[in-house]
Amino acid sequence: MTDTSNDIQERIDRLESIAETLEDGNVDLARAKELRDEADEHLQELRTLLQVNEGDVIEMDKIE
Amino acid sequence: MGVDQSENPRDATLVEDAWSVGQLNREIEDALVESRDRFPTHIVGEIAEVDHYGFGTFFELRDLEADPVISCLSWSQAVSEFEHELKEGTEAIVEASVDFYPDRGACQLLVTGYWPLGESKRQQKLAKLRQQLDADGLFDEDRKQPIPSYPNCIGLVTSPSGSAREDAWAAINSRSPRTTVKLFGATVQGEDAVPSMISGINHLDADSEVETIIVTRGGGSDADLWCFNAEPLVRCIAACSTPVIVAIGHEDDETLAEYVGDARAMTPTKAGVLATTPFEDVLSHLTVIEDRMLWGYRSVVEDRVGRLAQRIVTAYEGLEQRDSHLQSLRQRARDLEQRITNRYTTVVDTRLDTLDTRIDQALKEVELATEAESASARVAHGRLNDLERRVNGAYQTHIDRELNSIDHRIETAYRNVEAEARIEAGTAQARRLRLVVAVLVVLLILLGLGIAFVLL
Repeated sequence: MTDTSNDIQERIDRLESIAETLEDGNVDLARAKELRDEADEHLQELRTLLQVNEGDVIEMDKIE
Repeated sequence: MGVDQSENPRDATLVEDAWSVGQLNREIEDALVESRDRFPTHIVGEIAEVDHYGFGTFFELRDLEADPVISCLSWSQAVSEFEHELKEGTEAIVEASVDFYPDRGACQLLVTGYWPLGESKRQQKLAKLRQQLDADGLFDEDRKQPIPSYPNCIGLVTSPSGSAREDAWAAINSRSPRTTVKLFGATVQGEDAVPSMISGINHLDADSEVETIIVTRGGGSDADLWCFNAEPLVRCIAACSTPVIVAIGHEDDETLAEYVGDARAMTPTKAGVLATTPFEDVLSHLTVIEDRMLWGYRSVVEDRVGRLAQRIVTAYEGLEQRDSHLQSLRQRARDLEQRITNRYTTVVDTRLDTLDTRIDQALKEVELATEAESASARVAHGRLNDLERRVNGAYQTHIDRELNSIDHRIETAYRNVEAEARIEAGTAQARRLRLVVAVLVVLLILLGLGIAFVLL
């Protein structure tokens, strides 16, 4: 798995974790702000990574 | 026929010599009819691809040792008379005649008899291989690798010209346009298929950019798909370090390669679906997560701010109560001060009045006493005056008397002295006598004054 795929999955997993933590509510204001800022950063990065770009079709050596 | 006769004389000859398809097919049919005696009436092979219909059953008869197959048809009447059911993988002898259909240019056996010989060697070999692979753990679920959900690059091993390539690519591109596909065109049937696909799989497995490999081809006969049961290919797929999705044929087709892969898909399209996550779904999922995160954050903030506000309100109310209490205390102090002042004034006034009264009383008493004393003093003074007069009178009288006595005696003494010392002590004696008399008179006066003073 490439770093980018790992990055996407890890960021999504981290966002899930942040959402669960905030939903649980057992954090103080300062920590909530930190988590919010971290989540915003992950969201922005993910939306950049997932930005629609046409993937290439690369034809490797063929054996008939 | 689409050849420009005017341009090339040689092309004109080709047109004249070329047969139509109909001509060819008719010629084939005639050749087969003429050669009918050359064809056997009984053929041995492996039963494959059995499809039953109301009017009859289509199946394939496959060479036991090689790949060649031929289509077969048994009318339903004939099938009903078979003593055994037509079963795929069965080695069997069929009684059949060769039919040719010129409209389709297809050759087919018309089977009228069927005698199974048992499981074919091919099937026995396949079963044995299946057992061996199972014993080696190649079918175990816990060895299967997870398929990446967001691949940047997918490797595709399939025929470069078949529809499987397009189907897989279309599915990948529609769901994850950002994903690159590295296509390794391979032979997917026939005797070259196994080394071709092994080469492709190894090549893509060695490529660090490739995150998932799809090995796929479209539907076909058992013979067409048999290469996916070949042990070298199966073990190659099993040993792949990159996750492999195997999608061979259609839903009813099963090959060993599909069971050793990390995932199995029914079709090339489904293989593309399995290898990707729709980016719209991901973006939607991110939106859901973002909403959840914002809701949680808002809840935390509102809760904390609410608590702080409550604490502030409580503290403010406490301060207000304290202030009210202080105000009350201040008012009470002022009241007490006023009361004390009033009381003090009253007490002081009362006391002063009392003192005034007592002082007045005392003064009056003093006055009375003084007056009484004055009266007494006046009385006493009067009496004193009387006593003084009396003392003075008595003293004067006494003095007079004494003086008279003294004068008399002096006179007498003087005469005597004068008589005796008229010559000697004339005036001196007389002076001494007078002096004594004067001292005595003074002493008497002083005595009288002292007595008067004492009495006063």
